[in-house]
Amino acid sequence: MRRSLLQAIALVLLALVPATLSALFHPRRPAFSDPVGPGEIALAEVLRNPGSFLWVDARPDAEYLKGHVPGALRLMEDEWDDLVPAVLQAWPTGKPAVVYCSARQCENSKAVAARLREFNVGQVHVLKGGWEAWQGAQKK
Amino acid sequence: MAGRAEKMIVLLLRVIVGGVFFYAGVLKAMDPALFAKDVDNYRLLPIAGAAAVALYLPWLEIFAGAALAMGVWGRGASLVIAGLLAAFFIAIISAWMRGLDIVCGCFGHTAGKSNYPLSLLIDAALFAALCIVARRSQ
Repeated sequence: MRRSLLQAIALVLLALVPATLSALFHPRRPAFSDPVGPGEIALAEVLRNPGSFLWVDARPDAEYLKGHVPGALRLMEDEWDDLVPAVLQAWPTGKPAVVYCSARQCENSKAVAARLREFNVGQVHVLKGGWEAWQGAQKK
Repeated sequence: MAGRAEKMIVLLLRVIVGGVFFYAGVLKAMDPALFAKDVDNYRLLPIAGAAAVALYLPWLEIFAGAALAMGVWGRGASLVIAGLLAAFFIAIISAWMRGLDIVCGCFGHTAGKSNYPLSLLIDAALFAALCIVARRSQ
């Protein structure tokens, strides 16, 4: 058993060498931080004046009902035709909109934001970190 | 004769399990940025953790898989692979329970959306084969 453990430890340590080299030199190495991407907006920036944005919630109905940003209107690609009239009606020209979905990893907000931009009503941002980031900020 | 057949079966299982891990590791090591996204989708780690896993895990799979397939440090490689299979099992169950609709990332980004029962079945089959190999290894 001791020999097995030593062998396993040796393998674990050996793998560190190419992993470190990959972290330094691999052309497709991953980022260790998540900068604000194009079309995204950081929560800190939004929280300076949350009332100046139109909030759009791109999560399923069940999640929206559990909780959402105050005043947020629900809009998902699956139910676009049913939901978009209410959003357009509530969206004054020139007012920036912030679209969010459940977390950093979800893609719904990006898809909804892309389609909303086509209306040219105002700037459309995707909230970085989504609902998870919003909830985190409320807990602080 | 029976002993020889048994040895052949164990050798075959060793090469299959080791080969699967070696192959999966190579696919992931080729594009760690994409694999980091797959790891991140499990929502178990912060982004830096997902990046670290995406850089390290493929190489551990490559080394352990190669060692097992070649019969060098076989017991140690079995131990590492058993640990990896247990970790994958937990991650898959956790994603399934949370209803995440994600790419498994088990073999790089080549597979489609996760088929959780199938992923668990493959995990269990590899574990069973590994148990046979480990018991029969010297």
